[in-house]
Amino acid sequence: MNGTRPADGQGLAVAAESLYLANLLLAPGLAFAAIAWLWVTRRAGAPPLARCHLDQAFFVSLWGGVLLAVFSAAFVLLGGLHWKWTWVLVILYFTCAHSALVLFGILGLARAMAGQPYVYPLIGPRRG
Amino acid sequence: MQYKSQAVAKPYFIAALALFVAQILFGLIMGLQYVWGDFLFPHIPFNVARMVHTNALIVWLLMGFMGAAYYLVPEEAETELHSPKLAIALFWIFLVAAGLTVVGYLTVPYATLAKVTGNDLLPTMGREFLEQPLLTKAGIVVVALAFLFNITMTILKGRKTAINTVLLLGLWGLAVMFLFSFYNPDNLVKDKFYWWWVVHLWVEGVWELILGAILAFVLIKITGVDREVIEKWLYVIITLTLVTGIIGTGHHYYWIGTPEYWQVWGSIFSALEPIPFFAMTLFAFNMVNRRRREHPNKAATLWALGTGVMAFLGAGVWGFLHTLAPVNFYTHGTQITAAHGHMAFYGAYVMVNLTIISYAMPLMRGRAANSNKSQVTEMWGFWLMTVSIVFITLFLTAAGILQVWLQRVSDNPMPFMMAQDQASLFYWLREWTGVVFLVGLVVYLASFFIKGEEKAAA
Repeated sequence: MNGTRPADGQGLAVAAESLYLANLLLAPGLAFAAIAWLWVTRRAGAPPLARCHLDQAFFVSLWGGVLLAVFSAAFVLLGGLHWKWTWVLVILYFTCAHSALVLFGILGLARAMAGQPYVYPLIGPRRG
Repeated sequence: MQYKSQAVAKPYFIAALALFVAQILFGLIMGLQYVWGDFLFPHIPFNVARMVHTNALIVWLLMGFMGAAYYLVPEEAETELHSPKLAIALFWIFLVAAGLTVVGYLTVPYATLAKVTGNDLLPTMGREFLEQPLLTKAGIVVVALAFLFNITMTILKGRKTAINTVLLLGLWGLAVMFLFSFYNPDNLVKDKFYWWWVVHLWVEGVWELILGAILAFVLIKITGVDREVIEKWLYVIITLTLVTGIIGTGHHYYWIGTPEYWQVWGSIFSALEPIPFFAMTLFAFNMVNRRRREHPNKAATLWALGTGVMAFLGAGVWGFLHTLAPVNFYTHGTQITAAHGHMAFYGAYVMVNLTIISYAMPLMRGRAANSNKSQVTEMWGFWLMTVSIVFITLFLTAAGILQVWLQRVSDNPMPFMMAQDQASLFYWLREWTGVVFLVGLVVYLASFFIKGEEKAAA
């Protein structure tokens, strides 16, 4: 229900969500460094909308890293590389978790582009 | 409904849904044959069930696209359809031809069907998805040309919008690419090379233009967002589609005897193919977030959003999963392909058809939206079918990974049938999930018959 004028902090909000997606899809690590830099340098003086998206992008990226890397590694360590079920589980788990994180990121970016706040389901910080 | 002639879409939508039911029933039959090989043998052998399952899908999606075009083109062009009578005549020709073809598949051995339908004159049969007899293929061309004449003439005499233009481009592309189904060279490499010009350039090319146009039309109607905004998105999406999808055909050329450079080109461009679906999802959610009106048809909004999400997952993510040549070396032609096929077709083309049907059918029945009770039932259908297809995809993916491991990676590779036997648990799970899908479809169809307080059409 928004007009065409950008909301306060919308540019930063869109940048945060875009970097979140870039971290998952294009440049893992590098894009997260950029989110962290924005979070450290820009969060304090940012309008509420930008602060909300910065917080979400920063903390959900951290959670995402844990969910993807740590759990997948744990499955491989527990099952071993030479067991068929390890591969079935790891590939299915990684694909589903990664896709879910990307989809939530798309929803977050769509909200940022519409000048609206967004909280990631389950793992997004509740307080802006 | 603004123009009387839009009503010709109704029989197309009804027939499409009837064929959808047939597709699912034959899917369940062959799903059971995976684990109970003799089921319905010799009356409906696996190859016949598969042919009916896939052909019914293609035909009902085409029926849906035609219905969508007949509904949205007059409204976009702001004029009545060039010839509603021609549209109705074509509907019956197409339906009877499709029905006779299925009867032929089910009652006559395929080789006999080829013989009696003149396949010797111009051999076109016997290829996956293009199994139709020569007569049926010729009929499809005649129907498609007459349909395109009708639609093109309507657009030429009326307003030209980006949506109509993109839709028309997609529909003409669909017809032109189908002509390659008549080219069946003896050289097997060339045969497969051009076969993909029909199959790939349909689903990962021109059909995406049709999908984009239908989605854009529905989103304009249900969100009230400025046409200019939606049209800009549409241009971006179709550009991304064509840039990635055309050379992306190369991901089918890895192992068929074509030059090795296709492994590089195919990998690069098809790795980019999720981008238009990513954009489509972002587009759909962005438009709904920026909506300027609360349309009473909540079910249509749900289908539109679902199309973006499921197309991204099925066509985008599950396509990427096995599209890089070094990965595809192991996964080619396994159940991973089937997993991708199921979710991609459902997410992109089934859902966009159900989106336009959900939006247009109440209007053609004289109301802006169905009653709340009817919409809730329809949404139950949405969730049952969508969650089922997600699980069908997951079970097939699991079966595929197992298959790759046992058959292609293991130090002591298993023969095909033994590996299939190992995956039977997943096939059973897939079959039961398929039953839930059928329940969802029945619930969805039941929603058409549920009455209640309806919102009158404007």
